Amino acid sequence: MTWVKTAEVTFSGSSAVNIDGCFSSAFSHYVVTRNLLGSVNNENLNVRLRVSSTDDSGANYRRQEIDAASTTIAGVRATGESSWRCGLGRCLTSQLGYSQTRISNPFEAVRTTAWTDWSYNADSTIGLNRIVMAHDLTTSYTGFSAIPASGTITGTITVYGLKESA
Amino acid sequence: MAKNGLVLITKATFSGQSSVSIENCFSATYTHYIVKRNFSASAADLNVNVRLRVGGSDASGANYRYQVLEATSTTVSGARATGQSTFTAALGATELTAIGWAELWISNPFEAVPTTMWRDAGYTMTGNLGITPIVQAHDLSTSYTGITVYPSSGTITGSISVWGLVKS
Repeated sequence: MTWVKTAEVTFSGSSAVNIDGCFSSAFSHYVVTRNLLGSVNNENLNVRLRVSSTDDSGANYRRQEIDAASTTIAGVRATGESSWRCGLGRCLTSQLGYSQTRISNPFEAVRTTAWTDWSYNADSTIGLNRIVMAHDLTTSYTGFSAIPASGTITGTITVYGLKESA
Repeated sequence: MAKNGLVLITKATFSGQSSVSIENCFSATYTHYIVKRNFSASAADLNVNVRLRVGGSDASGANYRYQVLEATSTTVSGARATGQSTFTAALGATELTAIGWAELWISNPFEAVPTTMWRDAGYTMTGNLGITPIVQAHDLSTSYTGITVYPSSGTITGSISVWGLVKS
């Protein structure tokens, strides 16, 4: 199994982080990791696909979540959204939290799909959230933006491509 | 030739062990790690727990917490616990006649910040199948260099591998 790092971006106090050129024809599947803090605790860290240095902000994003909080299990589905809500989990102010995202076919001119596992673990509690996401257009994207719903983020986002041929 | 972004750090092989300590698998070279198991056990359906480790000693204080989601047949449930002394079932459950499946992602064990992890696992014992993703955190801002893997009783035989995700 060969993973190739296609981008690593370090930032400080950013209200949006644009990662351009991380998707290409070299890979179909990607893993995105993060290591960051937010200025607002427990804030959604949303994702928009991006091409030609412009976010795709049309209402073409949808998601299905499952959330486990103690003994309560809940699901939610949303369509027609302008970003992948919590596509990179949530920001915490005091802990780095956990998030891992997998994205398939962003560069191919087919619908992009994604999957994120993330946790919230601040303030002596902990919860589990898993999201599957899709984008309805068959557009080729070369990057994405990470956008906290409010406040700023400081840290690092890394993108890996999964190599499929020698 | 492209640089591999996922590097095998170590593979520990063992036989009939009640616990396996893997030293120096965490370092400043990586932030995120993947741990995979490939072992059988002397007893079935027991948690395979993990403790963080540094200086040749396990961190066994009550600083671990978890949230688990479980689906078995048509039943879906959740549970949360704090003040635990281990990453509970961080490498899944033991099985007698199958290797079982588990994949553990750990973030920031070496950095002096709280360590977080996500583990996916399935149990496949005869007459029983289930899915159990679990997320866990360790509350101390301590730098750890290794882990100890141990079933809640009995022994394990096989291997455990640790990979690091390359950063700058």
